[in-house]
Amino acid sequence: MAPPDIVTTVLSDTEHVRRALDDVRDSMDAVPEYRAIGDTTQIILAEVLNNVVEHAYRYEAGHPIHVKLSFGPDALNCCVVDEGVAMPEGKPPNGGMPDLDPNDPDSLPEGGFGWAMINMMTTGLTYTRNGGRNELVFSIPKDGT
Amino acid sequence: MPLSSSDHDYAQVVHVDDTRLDASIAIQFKEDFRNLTAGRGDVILEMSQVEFLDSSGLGSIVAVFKGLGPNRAMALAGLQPAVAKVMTLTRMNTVFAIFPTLDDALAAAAAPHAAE
Repeated sequence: MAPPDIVTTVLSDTEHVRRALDDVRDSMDAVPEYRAIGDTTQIILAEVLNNVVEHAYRYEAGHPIHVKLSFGPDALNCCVVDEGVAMPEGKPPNGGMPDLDPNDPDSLPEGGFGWAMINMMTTGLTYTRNGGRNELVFSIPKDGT
Repeated sequence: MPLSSSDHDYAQVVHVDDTRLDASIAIQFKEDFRNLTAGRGDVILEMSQVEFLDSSGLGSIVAVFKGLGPNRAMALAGLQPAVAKVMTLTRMNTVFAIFPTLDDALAAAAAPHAAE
């Protein structure tokens, strides 16, 4: 039998996100067959939740971010819902990793890695804007990426 | 933001005394790093206590590296698996000299001076 879903509501600031990630880590550590994607889950959720804090709620604290993680047979299925502003162009950024030139440090990007990592390590990423809510659904495959 | 510094023969070591280098402390990290390293030489960022790095934390490392300017080197030491994973995914492992331990990084910093 699959372990129970992890359901939590996180308040919209980076401190609460950090604590929520710690709690998710503890919950996932208790499920041995998902331990291999523990780090990936931390990375993805950190990027998704901090994007909500930064862009959907524009660093306004105290708003809810609803998180539900379900242990599927092949993947951790994730749903993140917020009540902030919609994503620009009505869809998540689909970019890949920013280019790097190790020989030109001044040109190195300081951002743009978050969505690139999300796109790289998740499957079935779907964004829906519905009744003033953003809903992001995605899966993190158990066999890793 | 707990950052501390120790002096070695050929590099200043900046220790990150926190388990996460993430969005909640990225700005403070940049400020404290700049204050600790102002007017100094090469830097080794010792990260063995850091269990988790997100893209904001990574951005702050890139920012302070760029802030050191062209004549000062920065190496990273003691990366835990989740941190190393972010470095690999973003290919930042091609930009920074990364050493398994602080001792390895110190040895590399001393190597060019071995004949002196």
